[in-house]
Amino acid sequence: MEYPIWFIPGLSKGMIMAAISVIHVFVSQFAVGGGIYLVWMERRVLKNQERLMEGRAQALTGSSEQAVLLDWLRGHTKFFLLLTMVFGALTGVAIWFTMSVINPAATSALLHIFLWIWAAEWVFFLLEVAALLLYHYSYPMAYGLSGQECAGRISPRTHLWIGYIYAISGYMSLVLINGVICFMLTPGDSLASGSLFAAFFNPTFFPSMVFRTGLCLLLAGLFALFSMSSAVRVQDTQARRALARHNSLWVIVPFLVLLAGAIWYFFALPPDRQAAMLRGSADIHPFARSFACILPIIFLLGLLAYVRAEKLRLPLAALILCSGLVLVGSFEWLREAGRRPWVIPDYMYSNTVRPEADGTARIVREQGLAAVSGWIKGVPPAALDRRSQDGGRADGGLSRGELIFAQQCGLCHAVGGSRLDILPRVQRFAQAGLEAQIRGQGAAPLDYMPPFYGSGQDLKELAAYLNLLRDAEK
Amino acid sequence: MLLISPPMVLPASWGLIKILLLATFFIHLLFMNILLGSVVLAAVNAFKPSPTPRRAFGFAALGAPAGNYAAMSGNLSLAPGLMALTVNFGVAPLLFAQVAYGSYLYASSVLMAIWWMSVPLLAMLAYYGLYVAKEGQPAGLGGRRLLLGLILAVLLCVAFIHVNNHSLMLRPDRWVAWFAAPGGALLNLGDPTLLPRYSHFIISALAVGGLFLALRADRLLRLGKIAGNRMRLKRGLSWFFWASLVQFPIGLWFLFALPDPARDLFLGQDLLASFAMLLAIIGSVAALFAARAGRVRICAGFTLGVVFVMVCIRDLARDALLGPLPPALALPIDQGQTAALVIFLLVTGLGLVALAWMIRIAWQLFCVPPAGSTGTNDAASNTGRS
Ligand code: HEC
Repeated sequence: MEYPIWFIPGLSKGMIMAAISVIHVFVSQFAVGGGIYLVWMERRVLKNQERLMEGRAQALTGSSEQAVLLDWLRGHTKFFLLLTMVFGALTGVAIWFTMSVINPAATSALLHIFLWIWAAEWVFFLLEVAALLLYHYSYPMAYGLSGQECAGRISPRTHLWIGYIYAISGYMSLVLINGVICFMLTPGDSLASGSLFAAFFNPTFFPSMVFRTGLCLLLAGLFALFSMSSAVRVQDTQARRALARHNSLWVIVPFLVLLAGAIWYFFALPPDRQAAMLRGSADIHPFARSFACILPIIFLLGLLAYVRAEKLRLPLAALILCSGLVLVGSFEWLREAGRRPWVIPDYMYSNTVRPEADGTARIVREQGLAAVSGWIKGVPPAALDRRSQDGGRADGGLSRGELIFAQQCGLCHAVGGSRLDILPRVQRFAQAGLEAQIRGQGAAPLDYMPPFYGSGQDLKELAAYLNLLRDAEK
Repeated sequence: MLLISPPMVLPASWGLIKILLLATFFIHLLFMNILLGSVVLAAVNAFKPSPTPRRAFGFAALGAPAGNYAAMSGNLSLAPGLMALTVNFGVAPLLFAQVAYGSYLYASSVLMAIWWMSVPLLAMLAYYGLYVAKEGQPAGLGGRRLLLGLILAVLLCVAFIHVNNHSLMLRPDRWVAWFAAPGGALLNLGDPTLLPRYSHFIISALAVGGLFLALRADRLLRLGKIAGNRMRLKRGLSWFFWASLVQFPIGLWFLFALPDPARDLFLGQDLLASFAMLLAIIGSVAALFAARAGRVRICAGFTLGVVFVMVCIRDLARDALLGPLPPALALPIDQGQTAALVIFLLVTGLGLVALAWMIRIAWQLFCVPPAGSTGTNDAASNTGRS
């Protein structure tokens, strides 16, 4: 209520937020797993080289397969750099910008509570940027891949260490973000004790860590399969099959970790969150179903890629990659929707109202929203009669009922459009019935919605606006 | 006014958060200046007509690669890395600014939501554009002009949006525009400080971009790489000189566009603020003299100092304009914040060690010629790997 609201009729802000988040999580968790993948592979190559050296003292360069693998790794690193450092990093910034605009109150609370966590995360971000740039640009100098003349200016060991710095920083970013994200689902008793330690290591922190570790490694496998069959082709058949096999294992094995994490995660949820996840309502059920379906599909596709390693082509790799996106998408959606009607359970509702807000709640109930928010006060009450034909106000501004809807219902309900469309949902009610319905929000059976926040007059404004919508629809 | 939302109690002292805000913003500004300045330099020279035979002779006499563009676009090879660092060092001050000034900054961001949310998208475009400019030389002169022109336009837009937001947040009286236009398409165009503020930032980027080119040329000259670098040094410093000279009238314009209480601060009313202003002016003059004398490193030293003092001046003006905040809401998680701060400091310490190690390696790989090199291979050192 304290902030202005970004309002475009018919625009679902939740949808924008969800779309950016899913894409970002997809790429940034690949960045975490992929960093581990890169150093793991490089280390294997180095070990192999050492073994070759011990066996045959003259065969310094190793087998041709070794060279092919190194060449591919270099190409994959570049693909990785362009995807994660540019797209991944900037979609991360985009989430933050979007969140600040769509839900400033929740953003502000999270930034204040976890300020030092975010700050530490930023340090790791800086290390990631520096390490990845150096890792990529010094590859030829460590191994002499393209420009022979600059080979040997840095030892492969040192190069590997730069990779370790990247991998560790990436994983630490995940650890820090994970604490914050899980807090938004299960704050546990941290709000009662006020303890940051309890808030960070909250009830789902560890299960979620297991789940996300599996997910990150799995995504590394998916992208490696994709990159070897599209952007960075491997020609040599022998090497190609070995690599495809290896990459499929990066799908199959982490999948098991992920599955274990998911099960543990679910049982670590408090009963009300479990119930929310299993709820049959339109905003969550389809995603629970798609999550359950995509799990076996990914596993089977991973097996398929392993078995038909020599026949791996772009279509299969792309299909596996897409199913990874579906996996990430449905999981993140489940987690988001499972919080409803809260942004932070017991602290802030989805509509940014804080139930405990020191006395304000009473003022609002008695005197109305305008008593606490200049943004609402500035919008004339009962502006309905000043509405033009098409339902908008003549000067382009909002009516008070519309504003209250946008603030308290708009983060979940769209007006028209696909996302929990309010239009069919108000069809069933007359004005009086609608008011009673809204008054019942926040308690069973409407406890998936936050309680209405405002005075009787505010409620009338909201109901009048909804009636107008309904009548316009008819 | 009720339009300003209550802040939240800070998890640490205001002073500490301010120090972190100013320090990280200073670094962000440096990277941004070098990046934007380098792109302007390359773009301007891509649009210059190719040298006449007589001028081409002049280039050759200075030992320069043929053409303005080849001579003046040397920084472009660093641009994607600079972009990454500019973004990274933009994240930290935004975090601290949202925590310290959220009551204002969130409101102005919502009012201009569409513009504000397009910033990461635009940055991404510029970023990929810079990779294309660095790696796959775009086809022909036309392609190069188009690409550089686009990148430049996008970067200028990003800067313009930032300047709008950070000036709109200071003007709650202008927020009422929202009541007629809640769609997030507002800008702060009517604010008299907008144009001088924007020009001040952009021209400082021109100056610093030129200075950076000169600094690199100076280093290569010291390594004995003559080809082209005398000319780069000369022209880089000349960019710096003229741009910095223009900053004086623009700075005055900015100062006198500020509302009275903030302006008077710097005109003797507040000792600290006036002293800072004086320091900045003296430093700028010194940098100008150093540039004329061809003393690049001294000039760079003064410039760094001036930019930092300017960052502080900007902060003083902001606090003067905003006045006191409304009473704060309680911080729901208030135990253990100090421990978290200590962990952050430890992480920063370790991070700095790792960073120093990597910078040393990078320096040896990219900035020191390999042993046995003759040191005359100009092309490799200026346009190649970095
Ligand atoms: C936290 C998200 C959320 C918020 C905020 C929210 N709703 Fe809902 N609402 C839902 C969900 C979920 C459903 C059930 C959808 C389904 O299963 O069809 C729903 C259903 C409804 C229904 C249909 C109920 C029925 O029994 O048919 C109405 C009417 C409604 N909401 C009105 C509102 C109004 C008015 C507001 C604002 C005061 C609001 N909602 C705020 C999530 C929300």
